[in-house]
Amino acid sequence: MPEFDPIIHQPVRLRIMAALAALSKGESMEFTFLRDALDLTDGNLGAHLRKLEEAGYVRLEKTFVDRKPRTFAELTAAGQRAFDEHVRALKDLIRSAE
Amino acid sequence: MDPSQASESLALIEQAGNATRRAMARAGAGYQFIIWGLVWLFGYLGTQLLENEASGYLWLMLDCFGVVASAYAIIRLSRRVRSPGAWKFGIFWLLLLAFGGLMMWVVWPLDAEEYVLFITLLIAMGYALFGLWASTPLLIAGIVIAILAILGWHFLPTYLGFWLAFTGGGGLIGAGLYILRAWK
Repeated sequence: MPEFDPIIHQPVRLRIMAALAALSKGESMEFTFLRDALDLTDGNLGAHLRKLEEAGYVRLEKTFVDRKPRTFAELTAAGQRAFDEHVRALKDLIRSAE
Repeated sequence: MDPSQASESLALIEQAGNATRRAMARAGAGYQFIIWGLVWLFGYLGTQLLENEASGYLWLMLDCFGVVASAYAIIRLSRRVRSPGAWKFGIFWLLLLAFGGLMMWVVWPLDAEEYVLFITLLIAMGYALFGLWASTPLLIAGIVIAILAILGWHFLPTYLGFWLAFTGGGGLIGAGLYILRAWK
């Protein structure tokens, strides 16, 4: 039986995970691109990304593009598994209520 | 958690996934549509209005503009979304053009309208296949352009250049502007 993940369950983190899960395997998204796509503030996105990174669900890579610091985010394999399981748990709950 | 909260969570997931896909399509397909729409618009107007040689030079200049502008847009996007397999996209277009060249060699000679139709269908096929792989708007654009090209070739062969300039080129520009404005 799939289980709800308390880290992913938080709405902003759920949206971040869903956005990163929409990328193809191996792709990563720059911080400001993710912020604009989800309409979040820098502080809000940064705090939740750190939480997801601590859980091992997101990999953050800091790099320089045109001498400017950039942070790229992508789901880890563990993050993808946890997200898939969380989605399955949500669907199971809805199905069981029907 | 109750089922209504679960439904809300699934809706959030769908919205966030769509927002990401749209942001990527906007940064990718949106600008590509406008760049190549301009190339098609002026190129096919040239095909209709200019002598063959002048039209050929115009297409050459427009294609150079298209490749440079397109590469610039791709480089800008790659600074925001990193895709390790992106080099395959370039190989895809090179292979398509190479096979298109071979097919044209086999079926040559073609008259002017058939030549225009061949190139248009080849590029439309490229959009459709590439779209199937990377971006739904491109898939739709490829199919629509192919249908419009066949209709124009069948019903308006004398004005095929005008037809493709305004439906193909104008359509691509319109689609690009729509994506840039509506998918913010």
